Amino acid sequence: VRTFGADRAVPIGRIVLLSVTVLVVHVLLFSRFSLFSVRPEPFLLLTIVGALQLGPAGGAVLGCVAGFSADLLSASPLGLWLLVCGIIGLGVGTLALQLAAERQLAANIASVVGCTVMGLLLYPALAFAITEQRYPPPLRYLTIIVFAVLWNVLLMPIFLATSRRLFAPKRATR
Amino acid sequence: VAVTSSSRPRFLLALVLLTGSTVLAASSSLVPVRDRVRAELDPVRDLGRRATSGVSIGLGRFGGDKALREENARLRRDLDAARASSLRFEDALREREELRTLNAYSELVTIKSVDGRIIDGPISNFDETVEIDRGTKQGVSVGNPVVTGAGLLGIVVGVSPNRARVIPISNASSDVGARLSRSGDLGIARGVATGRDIELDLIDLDTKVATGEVVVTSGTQGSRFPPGIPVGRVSQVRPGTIHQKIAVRPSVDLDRTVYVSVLLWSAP
Repeated sequence: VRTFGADRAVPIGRIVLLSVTVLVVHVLLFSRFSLFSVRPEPFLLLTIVGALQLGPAGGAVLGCVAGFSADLLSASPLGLWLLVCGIIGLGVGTLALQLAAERQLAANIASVVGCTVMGLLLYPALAFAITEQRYPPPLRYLTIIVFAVLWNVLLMPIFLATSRRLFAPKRATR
Repeated sequence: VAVTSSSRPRFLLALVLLTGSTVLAASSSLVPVRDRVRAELDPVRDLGRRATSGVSIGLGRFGGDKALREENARLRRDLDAARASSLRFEDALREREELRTLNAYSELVTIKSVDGRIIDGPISNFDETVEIDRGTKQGVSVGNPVVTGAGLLGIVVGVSPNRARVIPISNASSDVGARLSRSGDLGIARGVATGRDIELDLIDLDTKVATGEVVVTSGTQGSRFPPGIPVGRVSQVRPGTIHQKIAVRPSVDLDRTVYVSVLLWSAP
């Protein structure tokens, strides 16, 4: 059975390039998208869809680079998003090895939904544990989770197409 | 050392944790890097703001009809100024009595300020800062208080040549040294969440506090704000075990604010 993300060499140059591109596009465009004052979480999305292609090692590296990019735009101490995205990237990359490619669409959507929620649960928990930063009020927090997931699912096709183009293993030619 | 397939995820996890911890430990020394990156991205952010300024769907407070919004903003500014005059008058009556005895002087009138506009909201979902169109080129620096006609809005937490990031006083990480206008009792006004009432802490149980009473900045030694700036009005008073539990409605409505003044003042 062919699986997602078989472990292979990590294309660090492409990972950095894509993360910087997402950083610029987020500042230019995605940060303007707002439903109930909730914006997309493109760095989490990049980590998730990239890790599906790259496997555990690549997912972890992509998560760290994308997370650091998110940290550059955040007001919290640097390293929080790096930790969150790094852990998510490693987790998705490991999980991707177990996923059969035949059910790709369902697996992609489930990964984006599940891991975006996990990332948004992990970030304030880490921020509270490390910097004593208070959680958002419950209703606001729930709104962030619901609409950030919605944004990420809507943006998933663009990120998937880009990450497949950059990270998918090339087919063997005769 | 051979890394087996079962130990590899653990090794990778340890690597991620180590990288994250290292960056977190070096976070304060990396802040200039972050400020530099954000300054480099300012033109991109301005481009995005201009490109989406006429689009109202889904853009919240930063979209909509420009002319109408400008007019609304001007009217709100006038209204805010009138409200603030009223708040200041109440506080001034009490302060006048105090000044007679202390022979002190409110330094607020002598502080230089720079006027600006709120031009952007936060970039990320857990960030509650707003951005204004004034930066180091206009003399703004980290720690400068930001006010509107209605009172205290917040404090500058990040600055680039043409922009500054301001954290509102209602933000959960914000603390303001505050004073009740009638009794003169000092307390700490702590933010809960942006857009919600502030909690005024450390007010003794025997102090009489009335709903509607004005709260201003205390300006005591070491305070991050000069004295006498309206913070808000008491909206609820409940008895606590050691101190009273007092809710204060901020005098500045962030959602309706466009024009601000940055006080070029830093805590001595």
